[in-house]
Amino acid sequence: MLRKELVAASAEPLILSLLAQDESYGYAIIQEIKARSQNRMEWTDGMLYPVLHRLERKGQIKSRWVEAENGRKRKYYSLKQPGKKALAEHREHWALVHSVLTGFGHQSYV
Amino acid sequence: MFDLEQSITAWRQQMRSSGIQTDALLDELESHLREETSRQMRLGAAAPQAFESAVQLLGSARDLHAEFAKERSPAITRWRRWSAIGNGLGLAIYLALQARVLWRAEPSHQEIIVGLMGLAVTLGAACAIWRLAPPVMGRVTNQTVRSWIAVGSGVVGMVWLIAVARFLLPSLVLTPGQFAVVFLWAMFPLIALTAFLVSLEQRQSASVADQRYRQL
Repeated sequence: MLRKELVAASAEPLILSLLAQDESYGYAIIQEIKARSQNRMEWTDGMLYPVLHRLERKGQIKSRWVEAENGRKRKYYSLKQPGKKALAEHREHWALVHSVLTGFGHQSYV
Repeated sequence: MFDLEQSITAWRQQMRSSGIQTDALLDELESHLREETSRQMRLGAAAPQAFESAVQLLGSARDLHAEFAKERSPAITRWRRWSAIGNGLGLAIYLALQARVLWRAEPSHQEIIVGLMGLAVTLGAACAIWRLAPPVMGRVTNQTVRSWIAVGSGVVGMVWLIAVARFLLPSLVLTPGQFAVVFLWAMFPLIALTAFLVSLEQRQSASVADQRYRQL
């Protein structure tokens, strides 16, 4: 199971990456991330929404209400241009952490 | 008998009472609750258990409210800033009115009032320059220009200091109080120039860190 701090820190880039593929709504976003992490990233479901609202406030994503065929209302989120930029930046930063970390892994100490 | 609609209404009330008041937000959370409940029912859970478990997964009303409260904080910060500005203005107007009364009543105090007002304006301007210098200097990216600003600030500061110490102060006949005021005013250009130098330095170390980071 991933540490809570790491889950929180990765929330924004993960949501942006997911929305970069297609628009989606809160519940589906959580299911997708749970599935992709083989359930090892435990999110309290409700904690996703403050992050979504923060991203929307920052102008990185936008939302619209859509009525599904079963009459259920869903709030769909999609990526905006600043969101794409933010995602590129997140990727760069995470790649950096990753490269430093793996660099240490390969290093042998005499 | 379990009634999903009733349970959802009760849940919404509970959310409201712990501070989540926005309808749009409650609608969104409710939509999530319904999706999760029906997913669990599709997997074979009975409706009451499915609903209970969905509520648990969504998180307690208190936790959710705390998370959303964090999101709202920028607006609160803005509000606080405006109230500080309002209070400051009020205080300034009050002091100005008091000074006017004193000015009329006691002509012998006029010098002190002018001196104090001058000091207040000087301090205010110094604070403003310290506040504004970093963003202004941050825009100057050309290294040559930055160097010239740094050198220029240093030279102007030295020249001013010498002029004040060598020519201005000796030529004035001042009481100790007046001397203090004139001295503080004389320091003002130095404060401003230091602000520019310091903010140049800050930006410099930030951009060096940035470059190092990029090289990695």
